[in-house]
Amino acid sequence: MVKSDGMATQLPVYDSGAIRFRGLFEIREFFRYRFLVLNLVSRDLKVRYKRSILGFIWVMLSPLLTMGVLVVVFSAIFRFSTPHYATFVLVGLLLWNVFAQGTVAAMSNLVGNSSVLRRMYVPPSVFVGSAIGSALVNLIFSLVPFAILAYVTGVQPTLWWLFLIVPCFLVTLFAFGVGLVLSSMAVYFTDTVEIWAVLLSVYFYLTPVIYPATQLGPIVFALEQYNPMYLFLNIARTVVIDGTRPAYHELGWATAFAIGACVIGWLVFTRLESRFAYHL
Amino acid sequence: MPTTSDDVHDGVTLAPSEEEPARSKLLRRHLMAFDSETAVSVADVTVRYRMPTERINTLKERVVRSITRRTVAYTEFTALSHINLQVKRGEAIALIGRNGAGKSTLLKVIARVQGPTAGRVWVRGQVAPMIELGAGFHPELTGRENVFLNGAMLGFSQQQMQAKFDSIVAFSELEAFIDSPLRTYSSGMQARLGFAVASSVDPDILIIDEALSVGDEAFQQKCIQRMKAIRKQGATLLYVTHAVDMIGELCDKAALIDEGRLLYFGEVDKAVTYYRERLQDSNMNISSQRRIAMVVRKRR
Repeated sequence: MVKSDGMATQLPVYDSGAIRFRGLFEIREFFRYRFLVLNLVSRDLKVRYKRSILGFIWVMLSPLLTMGVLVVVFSAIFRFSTPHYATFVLVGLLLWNVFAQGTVAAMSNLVGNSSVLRRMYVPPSVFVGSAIGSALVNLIFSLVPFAILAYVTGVQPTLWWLFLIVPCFLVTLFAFGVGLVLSSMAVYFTDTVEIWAVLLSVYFYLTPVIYPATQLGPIVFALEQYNPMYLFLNIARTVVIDGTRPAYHELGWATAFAIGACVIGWLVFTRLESRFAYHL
Repeated sequence: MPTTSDDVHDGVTLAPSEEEPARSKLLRRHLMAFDSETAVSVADVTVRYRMPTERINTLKERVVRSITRRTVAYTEFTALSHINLQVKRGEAIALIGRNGAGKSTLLKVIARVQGPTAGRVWVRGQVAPMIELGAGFHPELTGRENVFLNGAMLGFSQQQMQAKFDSIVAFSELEAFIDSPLRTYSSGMQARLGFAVASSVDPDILIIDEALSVGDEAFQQKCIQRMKAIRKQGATLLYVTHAVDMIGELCDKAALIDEGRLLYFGEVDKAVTYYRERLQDSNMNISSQRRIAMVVRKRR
Protein backbone atom coordinates (compact mmCIF):
# COMPACT_ATOMS: atom_id res chain seq x y z
CA MET A 1 0.00 0.00 0.00
CA VAL A 2 1.41 3.33 -1.04
CA LYS A 3 1.06 6.02 1.53
CA SER A 4 -0.95 8.81 -0.01
CA ASP A 5 -0.30 12.48 0.55
CA GLY A 6 -3.57 12.82 2.39
CA MET A 7 -2.28 10.59 5.14
CA ALA A 8 0.83 12.65 5.68
CA THR A 9 -0.94 15.29 7.71
CA GLN A 10 -2.31 12.63 10.06
CA LEU A 11 1.07 11.13 10.86
CA PRO A 12 2.26 11.63 14.42
CA VAL A 13 4.87 14.36 14.71
CA TYR A 14 7.66 14.34 17.22
CA ASP A 15 8.87 17.81 18.04
CA SER A 16 11.75 17.93 20.50
CA GLY A 17 10.88 21.50 21.46
CA ALA A 18 7.15 21.04 21.94
CA ILE A 19 7.27 19.24 25.26
CA ARG A 20 6.49 22.03 27.67
CA PHE A 21 5.17 20.03 30.59
CA ARG A 22 7.20 16.89 30.72
CA GLY A 23 5.20 15.56 33.66
CA LEU A 24 1.94 15.57 31.71
CA PHE A 25 3.59 14.38 28.51
CA GLU A 26 5.12 11.39 30.27
CA ILE A 27 1.72 10.37 31.70
CA ARG A 28 0.39 10.10 28.16
CA GLU A 29 3.43 8.17 27.01
CA PHE A 30 3.23 5.82 30.00
CA PHE A 31 -0.38 5.08 29.09
CA ARG A 32 0.51 4.56 25.43
CA TYR A 33 3.14 1.99 26.47
CA ARG A 34 0.94 0.23 29.05
CA PHE A 35 1.32 -3.01 27.06
CA LEU A 36 5.04 -2.81 27.64
CA VAL A 37 4.51 -2.48 31.41
CA LEU A 38 2.36 -5.63 31.40
CA ASN A 39 4.87 -7.42 29.18
CA LEU A 40 7.76 -6.52 31.48
CA VAL A 41 5.87 -7.71 34.56
CA SER A 42 5.09 -11.03 32.93
CA ARG A 43 8.69 -11.26 31.75
CA ASP A 44 9.86 -10.90 35.35
CA LEU A 45 7.54 -13.68 36.48
CA LYS A 46 8.41 -15.99 33.61
CA VAL A 47 12.14 -15.55 33.98
CA ARG A 48 11.99 -16.20 37.70
CA TYR A 49 10.20 -19.50 37.46
CA LYS A 50 11.26 -20.67 34.03
CA ARG A 51 14.01 -23.07 34.92
CA SER A 52 12.32 -24.64 37.94
CA ILE A 53 10.45 -27.92 37.76
CA LEU A 54 7.48 -26.72 39.77
CA GLY A 55 7.20 -23.62 37.61
CA PHE A 56 4.34 -21.35 38.51
CA ILE A 57 3.37 -23.41 41.56
CA TRP A 58 6.34 -21.67 43.16
CA VAL A 59 4.51 -18.37 42.95
CA MET A 60 2.20 -19.60 45.71
CA LEU A 61 4.39 -22.21 47.32
CA SER A 62 7.45 -20.12 48.04
CA PRO A 63 5.60 -17.38 50.00
CA LEU A 64 3.68 -20.13 51.86
CA LEU A 65 6.93 -21.81 52.91
CA THR A 66 8.60 -18.51 53.82
CA MET A 67 5.59 -17.47 55.85
CA GLY A 68 5.41 -20.90 57.50
CA VAL A 69 8.99 -20.48 58.69
CA LEU A 70 8.29 -16.95 59.90
CA VAL A 71 5.24 -18.05 61.84
CA VAL A 72 7.24 -20.73 63.62
CA VAL A 73 10.27 -18.54 64.28
CA PHE A 74 8.49 -15.41 65.39
CA SER A 75 5.93 -17.08 67.60
CA ALA A 76 8.67 -19.11 69.26
CA ILE A 77 11.26 -16.37 69.82
CA PHE A 78 9.42 -13.11 70.27
CA ARG A 79 6.73 -13.31 72.87
CA PHE A 80 4.93 -10.02 72.64
CA SER A 81 1.51 -9.98 74.21
CA THR A 82 -0.01 -9.09 70.82
CA PRO A 83 -2.93 -11.31 69.89
CA HIS A 84 -2.38 -13.32 66.69
CA TYR A 85 1.26 -12.34 66.60
CA ALA A 86 2.06 -14.59 63.61
CA THR A 87 -0.58 -12.94 61.44
CA PHE A 88 0.52 -9.57 62.75
CA VAL A 89 4.07 -10.16 61.51
CA LEU A 90 2.97 -11.64 58.18
CA VAL A 91 0.80 -8.65 57.28
CA GLY A 92 3.68 -6.37 58.15
CA LEU A 93 6.24 -8.25 56.12
CA LEU A 94 3.96 -8.68 53.11
CA LEU A 95 3.34 -4.95 52.78
CA TRP A 96 6.92 -4.08 53.71
CA ASN A 97 8.22 -6.36 50.96
CA VAL A 98 6.18 -4.53 48.33
CA PHE A 99 7.90 -1.33 49.37
CA ALA A 100 11.40 -2.79 49.82
CA GLN A 101 11.42 -5.05 46.75
CA GLY A 102 9.63 -2.50 44.61
CA THR A 103 11.96 0.42 45.30
CA VAL A 104 15.12 -1.69 44.92
CA ALA A 105 13.83 -3.27 41.70
CA ALA A 106 12.86 0.16 40.36
CA MET A 107 16.50 1.24 40.50
CA SER A 108 17.96 -1.94 39.04
CA ASN A 109 15.26 -2.10 36.36
CA LEU A 110 15.87 1.41 35.08
CA VAL A 111 19.66 1.19 35.15
CA GLY A 112 19.64 -2.44 33.94
CA ASN A 113 17.62 -1.52 30.88
CA SER A 114 20.03 1.21 29.85
CA SER A 115 20.87 -0.84 26.75
CA VAL A 116 17.27 -0.39 25.63
CA LEU A 117 17.06 3.29 26.56
CA ARG A 118 20.25 4.06 24.67
CA ARG A 119 18.99 2.47 21.47
CA MET A 120 15.31 3.10 21.10
CA TYR A 121 12.66 5.44 22.38
CA VAL A 122 10.74 4.01 25.33
CA PRO A 123 9.31 6.21 28.08
CA PRO A 124 11.70 5.42 30.97
CA SER A 125 8.93 5.47 33.56
CA VAL A 126 7.65 2.12 32.25
CA PHE A 127 10.67 0.41 33.80
CA VAL A 128 9.84 1.83 37.22
CA GLY A 129 6.19 0.97 36.70
CA SER A 130 7.01 -2.62 35.81
CA ALA A 131 9.28 -3.04 38.85
CA ILE A 132 6.49 -1.91 41.17
CA GLY A 133 3.99 -3.97 39.17
CA SER A 134 6.07 -7.11 39.75
CA ALA A 135 6.19 -6.42 43.48
CA LEU A 136 2.40 -5.98 43.48
CA VAL A 137 1.87 -9.24 41.58
CA ASN A 138 4.04 -11.05 44.12
CA LEU A 139 1.91 -9.59 46.89
CA ILE A 140 -1.32 -10.66 45.22
CA PHE A 141 -0.03 -14.22 44.82
CA SER A 142 1.03 -14.24 48.47
CA LEU A 143 -2.40 -13.16 49.71
CA VAL A 144 -3.92 -16.62 49.16
CA PRO A 145 -1.39 -18.56 51.27
CA PHE A 146 -1.52 -15.68 53.74
CA ALA A 147 -5.29 -16.00 54.16
CA ILE A 148 -4.89 -19.74 54.71
CA LEU A 149 -2.21 -19.25 57.37
CA ALA A 150 -4.20 -16.51 59.10
CA TYR A 151 -7.23 -18.78 59.28
CA VAL A 152 -5.19 -21.77 60.45
CA THR A 153 -3.59 -19.74 63.26
CA GLY A 154 -7.03 -18.78 64.52
CA VAL A 155 -7.93 -15.35 63.07
CA GLN A 156 -11.66 -15.06 62.45
CA PRO A 157 -12.34 -14.21 58.76
CA THR A 158 -14.65 -11.25 58.24
CA LEU A 159 -15.82 -9.24 55.26
CA TRP A 160 -13.32 -6.56 56.32
CA TRP A 161 -10.60 -8.83 54.88
CA LEU A 162 -11.64 -7.58 51.46
CA PHE A 163 -10.70 -4.07 52.58
CA LEU A 164 -7.08 -5.28 52.59
CA ILE A 165 -7.01 -4.23 48.92
CA VAL A 166 -6.91 -0.58 50.02
CA PRO A 167 -3.66 -0.65 52.05
CA CYS A 168 -2.10 -2.91 49.38
CA PHE A 169 -2.98 -0.34 46.73
CA LEU A 170 -1.74 2.56 48.86
CA VAL A 171 1.60 0.92 49.62
CA THR A 172 2.04 0.24 45.90
CA LEU A 173 1.43 3.89 45.06
CA PHE A 174 3.84 4.95 47.78
CA ALA A 175 6.51 2.53 46.53
CA PHE A 176 6.01 3.86 42.99
CA GLY A 177 6.58 7.43 44.12
CA VAL A 178 9.68 6.60 46.15
CA GLY A 179 10.93 4.28 43.38
CA LEU A 180 10.67 7.10 40.83
CA VAL A 181 12.85 9.41 42.92
CA LEU A 182 15.41 6.73 43.73
CA SER A 183 15.71 5.33 40.21
CA SER A 184 16.21 8.74 38.62
CA MET A 185 18.92 9.45 41.21
CA ALA A 186 20.50 6.05 40.55
CA VAL A 187 21.05 7.06 36.92
CA TYR A 188 23.22 9.96 38.03
CA PHE A 189 24.82 8.48 41.14
CA THR A 190 25.79 4.83 41.17
CA ASP A 191 25.96 4.61 44.95
CA THR A 192 22.26 5.41 45.36
CA VAL A 193 21.64 1.65 45.46
CA GLU A 194 24.01 1.08 48.38
CA ILE A 195 22.84 4.15 50.31
CA TRP A 196 19.24 3.07 49.91
CA ALA A 197 20.03 -0.45 51.16
CA VAL A 198 21.31 1.06 54.41
CA LEU A 199 18.46 3.55 54.76
CA LEU A 200 15.96 0.81 54.04
CA SER A 201 17.15 -1.37 56.91
CA VAL A 202 17.16 1.61 59.26
CA TYR A 203 13.60 2.40 58.19
CA PHE A 204 12.63 -1.25 58.67
CA TYR A 205 13.59 -1.21 62.35
CA LEU A 206 12.10 2.23 62.92
CA THR A 207 8.76 1.00 61.62
CA PRO A 208 6.77 -1.42 63.77
CA VAL A 209 6.91 -4.29 61.30
CA ILE A 210 7.99 -7.17 63.52
CA TYR A 211 7.19 -5.56 66.87
CA PRO A 212 3.96 -3.91 68.04
CA ALA A 213 3.89 -0.10 68.08
CA THR A 214 2.80 -0.19 71.71
CA GLN A 215 6.34 -1.27 72.60
CA LEU A 216 7.53 2.21 71.71
CA GLY A 217 7.55 5.12 74.10
CA PRO A 218 4.69 7.65 73.89
CA ILE A 219 6.72 10.21 71.94
CA VAL A 220 7.92 7.79 69.29
CA PHE A 221 4.45 6.28 69.12
CA ALA A 222 3.00 9.72 68.40
CA LEU A 223 5.60 10.23 65.67
CA GLU A 224 4.70 6.90 64.06
CA GLN A 225 1.31 8.42 63.19
CA TYR A 226 3.17 10.34 60.48
CA ASN A 227 5.17 7.36 59.23
CA PRO A 228 3.49 6.30 55.98
CA MET A 229 4.61 2.68 56.18
CA TYR A 230 3.27 2.39 59.75
CA LEU A 231 -0.09 3.76 58.60
CA PHE A 232 -0.38 1.26 55.74
CA LEU A 233 0.56 -1.60 58.07
CA ASN A 234 -1.79 -0.50 60.81
CA ILE A 235 -4.75 -0.19 58.45
CA ALA A 236 -4.07 -3.67 57.11
CA ARG A 237 -3.74 -5.12 60.60
CA THR A 238 -6.92 -3.47 61.81
CA VAL A 239 -9.02 -4.97 59.03
CA VAL A 240 -7.43 -8.42 59.13
CA ILE A 241 -6.86 -9.10 62.82
CA ASP A 242 -9.46 -6.92 64.53
CA GLY A 243 -11.96 -7.25 61.72
CA THR A 244 -13.09 -3.65 62.18
CA ARG A 245 -13.09 -0.40 60.27
CA PRO A 246 -9.74 1.45 60.28
CA ALA A 247 -9.66 4.98 61.72
CA TYR A 248 -10.65 7.66 59.21
CA HIS A 249 -7.74 9.93 60.08
CA GLU A 250 -5.30 7.07 59.43
CA LEU A 251 -6.90 6.38 56.07
CA GLY A 252 -6.75 10.06 55.23
CA TRP A 253 -3.09 10.46 56.08
CA ALA A 254 -2.15 7.19 54.36
CA THR A 255 -3.89 8.26 51.15
CA ALA A 256 -2.29 11.69 51.31
CA PHE A 257 1.20 10.17 51.75
CA ALA A 258 0.69 7.69 48.91
CA ILE A 259 -0.60 10.26 46.44
CA GLY A 260 1.90 12.88 47.58
CA ALA A 261 4.80 10.47 47.04
CA CYS A 262 3.52 9.69 43.55
CA VAL A 263 3.17 13.33 42.55
CA ILE A 264 6.58 14.31 43.91
CA GLY A 265 8.21 11.21 42.42
CA TRP A 266 6.66 11.86 39.04
CA LEU A 267 7.79 15.49 39.00
CA VAL A 268 11.35 14.61 40.03
CA PHE A 269 11.59 11.75 37.56
CA THR A 270 10.25 13.66 34.59
CA ARG A 271 12.48 16.61 35.41
CA LEU A 272 15.60 14.42 35.38
CA GLU A 273 14.70 12.00 32.60
CA SER A 274 15.45 14.27 29.64
CA ARG A 275 19.15 13.81 30.42
CA PHE A 276 19.02 10.08 31.13
CA ALA A 277 20.42 9.23 27.72
CA TYR A 278 23.50 11.31 28.49
CA HIS A 279 24.23 9.40 31.71
CA LEU A 280 23.06 5.84 31.25
CA MET B 1 13.96 17.67 25.73
CA PRO B 2 12.84 21.29 25.57
CA THR B 3 15.32 24.02 24.93
CA THR B 4 13.70 26.65 27.03
CA SER B 5 15.55 29.11 29.16
CA ASP B 6 15.65 26.78 32.14
CA ASP B 7 17.30 24.03 30.17
CA VAL B 8 20.38 23.28 32.17
CA HIS B 9 22.49 20.41 31.04
CA ASP B 10 24.90 19.38 33.75
CA GLY B 11 25.40 22.86 35.03
CA VAL B 12 25.97 24.33 31.59
CA THR B 13 23.24 26.87 31.12
CA LEU B 14 22.24 27.30 27.54
CA ALA B 15 21.30 30.70 26.31
CA PRO B 16 17.55 30.83 25.72
CA SER B 17 16.69 30.88 22.07
CA GLU B 18 14.44 33.89 22.52
CA GLU B 19 17.44 36.01 23.35
CA GLU B 20 19.22 35.07 20.19
CA PRO B 21 17.25 36.55 17.33
CA ALA B 22 19.35 34.87 14.66
CA ARG B 23 18.85 31.43 16.08
CA SER B 24 15.22 32.04 16.77
CA LYS B 25 14.74 33.07 13.15
CA LEU B 26 16.49 29.94 12.00
CA LEU B 27 14.21 27.76 14.08
CA ARG B 28 11.17 29.52 12.74
CA ARG B 29 12.34 28.99 9.19
CA HIS B 30 12.70 25.30 9.92
CA LEU B 31 9.26 25.15 11.42
CA MET B 32 7.76 26.82 8.34
CA ALA B 33 9.63 24.42 6.08
CA PHE B 34 8.38 21.42 8.00
CA ASP B 35 5.43 20.80 5.71
CA SER B 36 3.66 17.52 5.11
CA GLU B 37 6.27 16.57 2.53
CA THR B 38 9.13 16.76 5.02
CA ALA B 39 9.90 13.71 7.12
CA VAL B 40 12.74 14.98 9.25
CA SER B 41 13.88 18.47 10.07
CA VAL B 42 16.97 18.99 12.17
CA ALA B 43 17.36 22.62 13.19
CA ASP B 44 20.62 23.91 14.61
CA VAL B 45 21.11 20.79 16.69
CA THR B 46 24.00 20.61 19.11
CA VAL B 47 24.74 17.67 21.36
CA ARG B 48 27.32 18.15 24.06
CA TYR B 49 28.52 15.62 26.55
CA ARG B 50 30.27 16.43 29.76
CA MET B 51 33.14 14.18 30.66
CA PRO B 52 34.53 14.78 34.12
CA THR B 53 38.29 14.65 34.24
CA GLU B 54 37.92 13.19 37.70
CA ARG B 55 35.08 10.80 37.88
CA ILE B 56 32.31 11.95 40.22
CA ASN B 57 29.27 9.85 39.92
CA THR B 58 28.57 9.02 43.51
CA LEU B 59 26.18 10.90 45.66
CA LYS B 60 28.61 10.77 48.55
CA GLU B 61 31.34 12.44 46.52
CA ARG B 62 28.94 15.08 45.30
CA VAL B 63 27.81 15.92 48.82
CA VAL B 64 31.38 16.04 50.11
CA ARG B 65 32.34 18.39 47.30
CA SER B 66 29.43 20.70 47.87
CA ILE B 67 30.39 20.97 51.54
CA THR B 68 34.11 21.51 50.95
CA ARG B 69 33.32 23.74 47.93
CA ARG B 70 35.97 22.15 45.82
CA THR B 71 35.88 22.72 42.10
CA VAL B 72 34.97 20.11 39.60
CA ALA B 73 36.91 20.05 36.37
CA TYR B 74 35.52 18.42 33.31
CA THR B 75 35.95 18.43 29.60
CA GLU B 76 33.11 19.08 27.29
CA PHE B 77 32.76 17.00 24.18
CA THR B 78 30.70 18.37 21.34
CA ALA B 79 29.35 15.35 19.53
CA LEU B 80 27.23 17.42 17.16
CA SER B 81 27.59 21.09 16.43
CA HIS B 82 24.85 23.20 14.81
CA ILE B 83 23.53 20.57 12.43
CA ASN B 84 20.87 21.67 9.95
CA LEU B 85 19.29 19.00 7.82
CA GLN B 86 16.01 18.49 6.01
CA VAL B 87 14.85 15.17 4.66
CA LYS B 88 11.85 14.94 2.35
CA ARG B 89 9.40 12.09 2.64
CA GLY B 90 10.49 9.07 0.66
CA GLU B 91 14.11 10.11 0.39
CA ALA B 92 16.92 7.73 1.25
CA ILE B 93 19.84 9.42 2.94
CA ALA B 94 23.20 7.88 3.73
CA LEU B 95 25.17 9.33 6.60
CA ILE B 96 28.89 8.87 6.14
CA GLY B 97 31.90 9.96 8.11
CA ARG B 98 34.81 8.69 10.13
CA ASN B 99 34.46 6.81 13.40
CA GLY B 100 33.25 9.13 16.12
CA ALA B 101 32.15 11.77 13.65
CA GLY B 102 28.70 11.99 15.24
CA LYS B 103 26.64 9.93 12.78
CA SER B 104 25.15 7.65 15.39
CA THR B 105 24.45 10.55 17.72
CA LEU B 106 22.50 12.26 14.95
CA LEU B 107 20.47 9.10 14.38
CA LYS B 108 19.73 8.90 18.10
CA VAL B 109 18.51 12.47 18.18
CA ILE B 110 16.21 11.78 15.23
CA ALA B 111 15.02 8.50 16.79
CA ARG B 112 14.26 10.53 19.96
CA VAL B 113 16.52 8.31 22.02
CA GLN B 114 18.09 11.47 23.35
CA GLY B 115 17.10 15.08 23.16
CA PRO B 116 19.44 17.67 21.66
CA THR B 117 21.41 19.84 24.06
CA ALA B 118 20.38 22.78 21.90
CA GLY B 119 18.34 23.14 18.77
CA ARG B 120 15.20 21.37 17.73
CA VAL B 121 14.12 18.28 15.85
CA TRP B 122 10.88 17.52 14.03
CA VAL B 123 10.08 14.00 12.87
CA ARG B 124 6.91 13.01 11.06
CA GLY B 125 5.60 9.47 11.32
CA GLN B 126 6.35 6.10 12.87
CA VAL B 127 10.07 5.50 13.28
CA ALA B 128 11.63 2.05 13.12
CA PRO B 129 14.98 2.32 14.87
CA MET B 130 17.56 -0.29 13.96
CA ILE B 131 20.34 1.25 15.95
CA GLU B 132 21.26 -2.09 17.41
CA LEU B 133 19.19 -5.13 16.62
CA GLY B 134 17.70 -7.08 19.46
CA ALA B 135 18.10 -4.41 22.13
CA GLY B 136 15.89 -5.57 24.96
CA PHE B 137 15.93 -9.24 24.05
CA HIS B 138 15.99 -11.45 27.11
CA PRO B 139 18.10 -14.62 26.92
CA GLU B 140 15.82 -16.72 29.15
CA LEU B 141 12.66 -16.02 27.17
CA THR B 142 11.74 -17.92 24.02
CA GLY B 143 11.93 -16.35 20.59
CA ARG B 144 8.15 -16.05 20.61
CA GLU B 145 8.05 -14.24 23.95
CA ASN B 146 10.85 -11.95 22.84
CA VAL B 147 8.96 -10.99 19.69
CA PHE B 148 6.03 -9.79 21.79
CA LEU B 149 8.28 -8.05 24.32
CA ASN B 150 10.25 -6.30 21.59
CA GLY B 151 7.03 -5.35 19.84
CA ALA B 152 5.74 -3.79 23.06
CA MET B 153 8.95 -1.76 23.29
CA LEU B 154 8.16 -0.42 19.83
CA GLY B 155 4.73 0.58 21.14
CA PHE B 156 2.57 -2.28 19.87
CA SER B 157 -0.09 -4.18 21.78
CA GLN B 158 -0.37 -7.93 22.12
CA GLN B 159 -3.09 -8.09 19.46
CA GLN B 160 -1.18 -5.95 17.00
CA MET B 161 1.85 -8.20 17.38
CA GLN B 162 -0.33 -11.30 17.04
CA ALA B 163 -1.31 -10.08 13.59
CA LYS B 164 2.32 -9.58 12.56
CA PHE B 165 3.70 -12.65 14.29
CA ASP B 166 3.54 -15.20 11.45
CA SER B 167 5.18 -12.93 8.92
CA ILE B 168 7.91 -12.03 11.43
CA VAL B 169 8.74 -15.68 12.03
CA ALA B 170 8.58 -16.48 8.34
CA PHE B 171 10.96 -13.65 7.51
CA SER B 172 13.44 -14.62 10.20
CA GLU B 173 13.36 -18.28 9.04
CA LEU B 174 13.34 -19.41 12.66
CA GLU B 175 10.13 -21.48 12.66
CA ALA B 176 11.88 -24.48 14.18
CA PHE B 177 13.46 -22.51 17.03
CA ILE B 178 10.80 -19.98 17.90
CA ASP B 179 9.85 -21.73 21.15
CA SER B 180 13.43 -22.24 22.33
CA PRO B 181 15.01 -19.80 24.76
CA LEU B 182 16.96 -17.03 23.09
CA ARG B 183 20.18 -18.06 24.83
CA THR B 184 20.28 -21.10 22.54
CA TYR B 185 20.33 -18.85 19.45
CA SER B 186 23.48 -17.91 17.60
CA SER B 187 24.21 -14.20 17.29
CA GLY B 188 23.20 -14.35 13.65
CA MET B 189 19.85 -15.91 14.56
CA GLN B 190 19.25 -13.19 17.16
CA ALA B 191 20.03 -10.51 14.62
CA ARG B 192 17.63 -12.10 12.15
CA LEU B 193 14.84 -12.08 14.69
CA GLY B 194 15.70 -8.51 15.66
CA PHE B 195 15.60 -7.31 12.07
CA ALA B 196 12.36 -9.18 11.43
CA VAL B 197 10.63 -7.49 14.38
CA ALA B 198 12.06 -4.03 13.77
CA SER B 199 11.18 -4.03 10.08
CA SER B 200 7.66 -5.38 10.64
CA VAL B 201 6.31 -2.18 12.09
CA ASP B 202 5.36 -0.64 8.72
CA PRO B 203 7.49 2.41 9.41
CA ASP B 204 7.35 5.83 7.83
CA ILE B 205 10.99 6.36 8.69
CA LEU B 206 13.57 3.62 8.83
CA ILE B 207 16.73 4.37 10.77
CA ILE B 208 19.57 1.94 10.26
CA ASP B 209 22.93 2.09 11.98
CA GLU B 210 25.13 -0.51 10.36
CA ALA B 211 22.63 -3.10 11.47
CA LEU B 212 23.10 -5.08 8.30
CA SER B 213 26.65 -6.07 9.01
CA VAL B 214 25.32 -9.17 10.75
CA GLY B 215 24.11 -12.42 9.33
CA ASP B 216 25.32 -14.26 6.29
CA GLU B 217 25.26 -12.86 2.78
CA ALA B 218 21.95 -14.47 1.89
CA PHE B 219 20.27 -12.83 4.84
CA GLN B 220 21.92 -9.50 4.12
CA GLN B 221 20.49 -9.63 0.62
CA LYS B 222 17.09 -10.41 2.11
CA CYS B 223 17.39 -7.42 4.42
CA ILE B 224 18.26 -5.15 1.54
CA GLN B 225 15.25 -6.47 -0.39
CA ARG B 226 13.03 -5.77 2.63
CA MET B 227 14.46 -2.25 2.92
CA LYS B 228 13.76 -1.61 -0.74
CA ALA B 229 10.21 -2.89 -0.29
CA ILE B 230 9.67 -0.58 2.67
CA ARG B 231 11.04 2.30 0.60
CA LYS B 232 8.66 1.48 -2.26
CA GLN B 233 5.79 2.04 0.17
CA GLY B 234 7.01 5.60 0.52
CA ALA B 235 9.09 5.31 3.65
CA THR B 236 12.06 7.54 4.35
CA LEU B 237 15.43 5.92 4.99
CA LEU B 238 18.32 7.15 7.09
CA TYR B 239 21.28 4.88 6.78
CA VAL B 240 24.65 5.01 8.54
CA THR B 241 27.37 2.99 6.93
CA HIS B 242 31.07 2.75 6.26
CA ALA B 243 30.56 0.65 3.15
CA VAL B 244 30.53 3.71 0.91
CA ASP B 245 30.59 1.65 -2.28
CA MET B 246 27.18 0.23 -1.52
CA ILE B 247 25.25 3.39 -0.76
CA GLY B 248 24.64 4.34 -4.39
CA GLU B 249 22.45 1.28 -4.69
CA LEU B 250 20.15 2.28 -1.84
CA CYS B 251 20.39 6.01 -1.31
CA ASP B 252 19.54 9.14 -3.31
CA LYS B 253 21.55 11.54 -1.20
CA ALA B 254 24.41 11.44 1.25
CA ALA B 255 25.43 13.58 4.19
CA LEU B 256 29.07 13.82 5.17
CA ILE B 257 29.65 14.43 8.85
CA ASP B 258 33.02 15.10 10.35
CA GLU B 259 33.95 16.16 13.85
CA GLY B 260 30.33 16.84 14.67
CA ARG B 261 29.74 19.15 11.73
CA LEU B 262 27.74 18.61 8.59
CA LEU B 263 30.30 19.18 5.84
CA TYR B 264 28.26 18.26 2.81
CA PHE B 265 24.72 17.21 2.02
CA GLY B 266 23.80 16.32 -1.51
CA GLU B 267 24.87 13.98 -4.27
CA VAL B 268 26.16 10.60 -3.21
CA ASP B 269 29.20 10.65 -5.50
CA LYS B 270 30.41 14.03 -4.30
CA ALA B 271 29.89 13.11 -0.66
CA VAL B 272 31.92 9.94 -1.13
CA THR B 273 34.71 11.84 -2.86
CA TYR B 274 34.89 14.40 -0.05
CA TYR B 275 34.78 11.59 2.48
CA ARG B 276 37.77 9.87 0.87
CA GLU B 277 39.71 13.16 0.80
CA ARG B 278 38.88 13.63 4.43
CA LEU B 279 40.14 10.17 5.28
CA GLN B 280 43.51 10.89 3.61
CA ASP B 281 43.86 14.22 5.36
CA SER B 282 43.18 12.63 8.70
CA ASN B 283 45.97 10.14 8.15
CA MET B 284 48.44 12.98 8.04
CA ASN B 285 47.04 15.06 10.80
CA ILE B 286 45.62 13.10 13.68
CA SER B 287 44.46 15.94 15.85
CA SER B 288 40.73 16.06 16.23
CA GLN B 289 40.72 17.80 19.54
CA ARG B 290 38.70 20.73 18.33
CA ARG B 291 35.52 19.45 19.82
CA ILE B 292 36.90 19.02 23.29
CA ALA B 293 36.90 22.06 25.53
CA MET B 294 38.15 22.21 29.06
CA VAL B 295 35.61 23.65 31.43
CA VAL B 296 36.25 24.27 35.08
CA ARG B 297 33.26 25.11 37.11
CA LYS B 298 32.76 25.77 40.75
CA ARG B 299 29.88 23.84 42.16
CA ARG B 300 27.92 25.41 44.91
